[in-house]
Amino acid sequence: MNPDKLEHFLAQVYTNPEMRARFLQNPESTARAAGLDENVILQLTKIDREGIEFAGDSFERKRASQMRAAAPKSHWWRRAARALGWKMQ
Amino acid sequence: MLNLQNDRFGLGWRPELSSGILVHLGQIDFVEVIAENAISENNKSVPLETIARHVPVTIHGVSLGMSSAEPVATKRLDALARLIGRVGPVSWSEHLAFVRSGNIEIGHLAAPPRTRATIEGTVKNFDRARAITGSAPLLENIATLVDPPASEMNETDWLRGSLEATNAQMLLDLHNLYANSINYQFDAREALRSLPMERVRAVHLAGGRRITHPRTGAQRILDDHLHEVPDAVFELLELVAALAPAPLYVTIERDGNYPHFSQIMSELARARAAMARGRACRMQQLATAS
Repeated sequence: MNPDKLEHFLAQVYTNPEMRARFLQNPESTARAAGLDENVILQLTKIDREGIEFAGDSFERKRASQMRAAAPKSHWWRRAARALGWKMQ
Repeated sequence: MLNLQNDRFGLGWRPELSSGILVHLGQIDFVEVIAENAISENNKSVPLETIARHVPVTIHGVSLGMSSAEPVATKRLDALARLIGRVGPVSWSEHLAFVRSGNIEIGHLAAPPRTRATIEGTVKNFDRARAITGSAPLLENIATLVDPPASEMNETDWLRGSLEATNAQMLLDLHNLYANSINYQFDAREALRSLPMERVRAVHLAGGRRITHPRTGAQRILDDHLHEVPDAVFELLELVAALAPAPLYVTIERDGNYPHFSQIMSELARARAAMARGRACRMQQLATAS
């Protein structure tokens, strides 16, 4: 088993909704296309499907929360001015 | 780094809780600071060094990705080493999790496949972390919403294997263990009895909530740190106190949805009471055995 390849595969499943959907639809072919070992492919056919979906959703919320926290803050009066169409210096 | 005779009780340091913590320092034995917040904020709020002069500090990392075949980035360990050097914490800790692979950031702690390979990866990262920071981290068990794919062993066997292979001490997160026991149907009390309790040096207490799968209606517990510590977790804490021989640092973690500060202090008091009952039970057992 190549742990790097497996971890990378799982990271893609957890973070990429399209990859996750492909994997849940056909775990064997998706894992084989990623170049995983045959014994790992066999293990991945016995997946916790609901768990994968729960986890993917949770990780997405966490990433979104981190992006919001990292975004520059906008003062309320700037937002109000923009809403009124005022030009700000 | 831990060298105490008695158990200690503390809170996770959060800006929203800072005034309450500072007012109640006489009733709080220590505070736990998130390493990444301290490194990124660079003392824009209450300077960490100032806090450390008034109360012992522990440091808790959340983004190294210790349980991974991928080596922990040296720059992250260097930043942590500088933080540890500035603050002089009682201890520092990280998670038995992976958080990234290549250029993919998962965004949170993910349970790695429970295999010999991930134990070996943990050992390598642990040894590097100890070498660069100058001290060994406590390793924490995590909650997981997914039964880790391609696993070869169960959670307690993998935790025990990781701790023995690294010779690390453990930060035992009881809500994480509780959530996993509910989600994957195992007995949390039996799991505690099979863990190497002699390695436990710290405990985390937190709360979570049930989430529902939109398609199947299945429910799992999410360890979100936004709710009060459940009764079942305090009961597990009492058992930990009866089983663990070493003094423990017990932390209440709360990351949002903050109640009145008096409620958090009530949880701390409840933790003290649970530990006292467990320690009394332990003393009785030891007296009976001798």
